[in-house]
Amino acid sequence: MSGIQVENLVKTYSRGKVRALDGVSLAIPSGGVFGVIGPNGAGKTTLMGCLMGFLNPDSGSIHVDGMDVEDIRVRLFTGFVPERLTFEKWMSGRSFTAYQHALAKLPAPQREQAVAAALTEVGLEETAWDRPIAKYSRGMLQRLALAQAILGSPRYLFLDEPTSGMDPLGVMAVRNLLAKLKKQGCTIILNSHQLEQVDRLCDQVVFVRQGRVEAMETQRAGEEVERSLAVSWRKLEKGLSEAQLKTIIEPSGAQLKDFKEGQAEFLIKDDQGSEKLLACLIQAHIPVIEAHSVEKRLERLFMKENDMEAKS
Amino acid sequence: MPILKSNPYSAKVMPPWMVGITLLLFAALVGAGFYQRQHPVVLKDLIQWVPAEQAQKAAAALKKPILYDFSADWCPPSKQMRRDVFKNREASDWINQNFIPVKVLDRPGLGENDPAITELQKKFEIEAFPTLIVWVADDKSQREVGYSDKTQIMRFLQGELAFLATAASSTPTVVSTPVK
Amino acid sequence: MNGTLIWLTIRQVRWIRFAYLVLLFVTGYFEFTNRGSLSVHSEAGMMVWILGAGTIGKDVTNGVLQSIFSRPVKRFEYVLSKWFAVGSMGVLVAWLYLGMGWTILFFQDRPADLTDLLTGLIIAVLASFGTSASLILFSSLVPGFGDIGLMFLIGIVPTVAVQFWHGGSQYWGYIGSEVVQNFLFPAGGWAEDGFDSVSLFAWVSYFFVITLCLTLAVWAMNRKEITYANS
Repeated sequence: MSGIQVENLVKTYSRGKVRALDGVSLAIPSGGVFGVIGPNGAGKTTLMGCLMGFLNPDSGSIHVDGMDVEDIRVRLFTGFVPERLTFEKWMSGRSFTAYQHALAKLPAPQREQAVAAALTEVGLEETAWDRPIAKYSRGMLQRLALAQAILGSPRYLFLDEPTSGMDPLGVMAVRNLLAKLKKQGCTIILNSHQLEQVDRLCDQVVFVRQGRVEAMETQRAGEEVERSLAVSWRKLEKGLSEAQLKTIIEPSGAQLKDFKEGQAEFLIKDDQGSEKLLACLIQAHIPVIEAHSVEKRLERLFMKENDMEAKS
Repeated sequence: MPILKSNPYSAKVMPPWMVGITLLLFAALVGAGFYQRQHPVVLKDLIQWVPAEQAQKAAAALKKPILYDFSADWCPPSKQMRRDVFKNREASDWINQNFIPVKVLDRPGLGENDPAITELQKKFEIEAFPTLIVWVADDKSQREVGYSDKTQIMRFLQGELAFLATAASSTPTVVSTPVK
Repeated sequence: MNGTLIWLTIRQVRWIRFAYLVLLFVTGYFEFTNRGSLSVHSEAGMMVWILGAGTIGKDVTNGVLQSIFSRPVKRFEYVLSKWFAVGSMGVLVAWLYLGMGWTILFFQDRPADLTDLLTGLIIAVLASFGTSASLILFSSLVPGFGDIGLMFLIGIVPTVAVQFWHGGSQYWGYIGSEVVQNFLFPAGGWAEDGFDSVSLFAWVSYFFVITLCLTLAVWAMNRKEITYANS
């Protein structure tokens, strides 16, 4: 049996007063990217902790490739990037990665090569490899964390906020690396607040709140999904009716969702749809002032769940 | 969480051999404790101790003062004194030459005291251990209570010896080179 | 045991601790001169405290346990490796200390017997690994340097209390104090008397305390939750 099976996981703190995970059940298939999102205090870090065997669940079970998560053999094919990058500060990046290589029981004769390959893969500058970790920036620490996690080409990679504190170039590099690892068959479990990253990378996304799985979206990473575009324009002398606007936007394939004097919200399929829509409006001499995405698909999950909470 | 995880591959396994050895040693400890009560260990040093009942006769014959060592094996300062003074070659040689040493050990093997020991402790009004008493006669005895270091003890003993040498009519045998 | 973790533990010792060791060596000069004999059992315990204080507790507070236990490392392996590393460092430093003592006595025309030197070397091993076991237990229970604080408190209370007891209860006070000392510093008690005076009970007690401390430390580490999720 491959993949990760989580069954009725319950985890409490403070002698049961805080129910961090409340009967979570998940089936994470191998070979994809699985995202975990949710508001602060939802239980995401607790879930990661249980998936890594760091925590003692009150009840329930977790199996990775058919083995209990506490089985030491599971650690032979997993890599982990913690949220808090607390590494031995007196070590250099190279020596820390080598130390992790040794702890992972990977073959010593290949250590030097493997360490260099991992540090290069994550884009850590070679001049920084022998610098003490204490002198690393947040972005460099994040790269180092990734480097040690990918040692030995793990089958499962658990990433807790892997791009936190990274510059846009770094974020892009991580995204490319994860896409590459995914192609190589690595199963990636990603916990991130950066919804755009999750949206682009993940095949499945689970929304966790108050220790429960509230929603799950299955998608192909980056696939075309409907979005909303809000457009506002300067007041026209002759005015613009809803019917007129619908006629104007028809060639673009967009749908009118909401209409008010001087502004409207459209449903579009993708970025090309936005281009076509704006082109239609401009061709019709509508003086567009502003156009922006209303919310992303995954953000809607937060909104939807907040709406449901308000109603209940 | 069970103490002994059944899965030997578990990261949180408690090795059965660790638990087994601990339990075995506990059983051995209990057994050894009972054995020791019956066969208390005699702690050795370099002093030629004289039995208490023979001490006064020996002192009169050799014209040396008696050195009573009221101590206890359960008392850490007593053990320190034995280690630093009575197991020191130089110090023990000097004591053997200048005194009739008598060891009065409280509760050997943590058992009850012999009546003779209790009587001696009462006679000399012993309140703490270790207590060293240099005794020439009932009205000529001096004591040192407690132990801090070897110097303290040697200073006391040498001081007493020097005092006795000037005060007594017959001069005890004194080694010319005092020990530090 | 895990060689990588042993190496890590040794490398984790910061230079400031060696400054404390230097102080110990300086006081050692006066100790050897005053005592005139080779003895190392209590100093070996202090050396282990200096080198090993917070060895597990600091890993907890520094948050490095996740990077260790995300690897195929069993928790009991971690405990035993820590014990061995701290004990070994204690032995090495204690042997250097004995070497210094032997040299001092030699140049003071009071050379130590070979038997005393051999006894000292063996007692250094026993005392170092003994105290290391006790330290590892406390370090697994409290974060940071709390192990030293806790051990000091446990050690000092009976020692101070016994000063206020008199008469018959002083006996029980000393016995209690000795039991506590033998737990905090295994090999500290009977080591004072040399091997010719050691009882079977003392030997068994020594090994029992070590295995008990290590077993309890493994139990504590197995229960420990390594995350900041609940903080």
